[in-house]
Amino acid sequence: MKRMTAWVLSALVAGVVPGSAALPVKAGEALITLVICAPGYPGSTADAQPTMDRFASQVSALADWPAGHVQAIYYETEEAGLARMREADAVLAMVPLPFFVRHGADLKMRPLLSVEPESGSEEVWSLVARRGLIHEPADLAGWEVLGQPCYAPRLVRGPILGTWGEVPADVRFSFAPRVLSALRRAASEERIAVLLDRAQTKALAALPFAADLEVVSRSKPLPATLICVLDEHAGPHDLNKLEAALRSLHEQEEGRAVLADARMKRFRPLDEKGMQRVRDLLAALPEVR
Amino acid sequence: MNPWQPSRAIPAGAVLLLAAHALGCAAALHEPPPLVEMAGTSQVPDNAGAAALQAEAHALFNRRELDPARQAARLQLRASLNESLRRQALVAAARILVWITDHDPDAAVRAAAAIQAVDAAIWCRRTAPQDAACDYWLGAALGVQARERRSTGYSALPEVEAAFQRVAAAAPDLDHAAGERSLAFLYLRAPGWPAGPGDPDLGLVHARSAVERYPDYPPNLLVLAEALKKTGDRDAARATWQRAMVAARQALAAGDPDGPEWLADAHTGFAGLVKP
Repeated sequence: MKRMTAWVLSALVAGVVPGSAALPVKAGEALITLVICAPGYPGSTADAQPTMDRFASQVSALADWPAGHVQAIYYETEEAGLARMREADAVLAMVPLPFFVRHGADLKMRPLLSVEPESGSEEVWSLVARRGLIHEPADLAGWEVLGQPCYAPRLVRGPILGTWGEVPADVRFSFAPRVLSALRRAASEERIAVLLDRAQTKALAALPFAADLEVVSRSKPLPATLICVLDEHAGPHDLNKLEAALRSLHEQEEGRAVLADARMKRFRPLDEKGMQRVRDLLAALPEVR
Repeated sequence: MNPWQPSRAIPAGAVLLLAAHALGCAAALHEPPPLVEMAGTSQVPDNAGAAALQAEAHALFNRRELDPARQAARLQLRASLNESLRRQALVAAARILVWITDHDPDAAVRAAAAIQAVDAAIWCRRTAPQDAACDYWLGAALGVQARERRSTGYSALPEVEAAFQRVAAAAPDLDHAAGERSLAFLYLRAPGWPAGPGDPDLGLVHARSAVERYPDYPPNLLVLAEALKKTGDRDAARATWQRAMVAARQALAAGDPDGPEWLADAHTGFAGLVKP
């Protein structure tokens, strides 16, 4: 009897059920690996693997490669994703903008495509604090800002909050995957602010302690999730085939189903203007913080 | 102890594997087929016959193997045609079918078992509308159904939560605090705010409540350890997984058929925590 308790206990947070794993690759055949990393998001590598297998299988087929030629792996922690992206078969990475800003240069990432999530093509980040305490960026002096993108403090200081104004140097940024807990702290403690994405901001008013909080700033629309080439681990021919496969994934029924499982609509051309806005705002920051 | 009272833990995974990305909008609750159809016979056993079917089913399911479990579910559904033992038989059938859904490697079999588990639980509630055990297994069955049939996810979430809340309020001691334990799993594993009711802080509250009532019951310790890990208290999580190992070994030594699984789960959790 196949024992599945470990799988059962692992809660399928990535929204997957066991499916057919990718077929074994013939000996000597190179694998192309797509590494997906979203720090602070739910699910584990094992939980997500069946969906990753379906995704990779679709991409393989669309690129006219044998089953198993492409594989996809999900990591919910920054460290694990980073380690996997450094391996030679890691050709593409799918990462949220904070990950790209923090690690793009180190990993020699080149943005290739934008991911269009179901919630909208761009992300708007809102800063939420206890009502009446924050009127301008200078009021944040000595505060701690919590949120999912806070592992990339330069992104938060620059593209996310920079258009509001200069954030005091002593503000601390702390990665906080449990956003609801962070909001509870913000509602009851002084000197705690929380960054929310578009969906979270929209849902804020329904929280029982919403009256204690207010949105004090909103970012300009920013790219949300990117597909990036990793250190040119693959040649142009393979990359072109991969790009074409990804861009056509939503045109197939099965492809749409796989995308929907991950709450995505499609992959589309890179938002060059949005990326340039990010680069400009980052460049405007002092070098060392 | 009546073996068909819900005195065992719901397999943790049965409680809630409602993934954020897995949620659709199809109805989770549906009209179940007639009981005679589920039982595969119209022959109603008398009291002695139904009791004999249940005894045989109990022995089969105690082996915790798939084929005997399938037979056991069929026998319980046949026993459920007897009106006086119906509730008891349907509770047992739902429980076995949830177990099958958690253990069968074949996705199609799991999906079918999940639907049958929901059907049995719905009939159970119709038979005994105020019965906490029926609520308990309805919540569990909806949980596994949501996992196996992703399109039922969204509509299942409020039903699952409401079922476990009713159990916690009406029968706090059922299955060693099953209501609190199941709510803990729900809040720990459901999609988080704003997509779903997932809330690790709340999960920790319910896990602590389950452990307060039954401190040595391995599933309570397992969910508490998970809650502590998810809320950032790794030292306490480590200590709680160690307590869970001790409790699971005791259950194993006492011949509990779920003991090996609890022990393995405790080891897996502990190992996951100590990994660099």
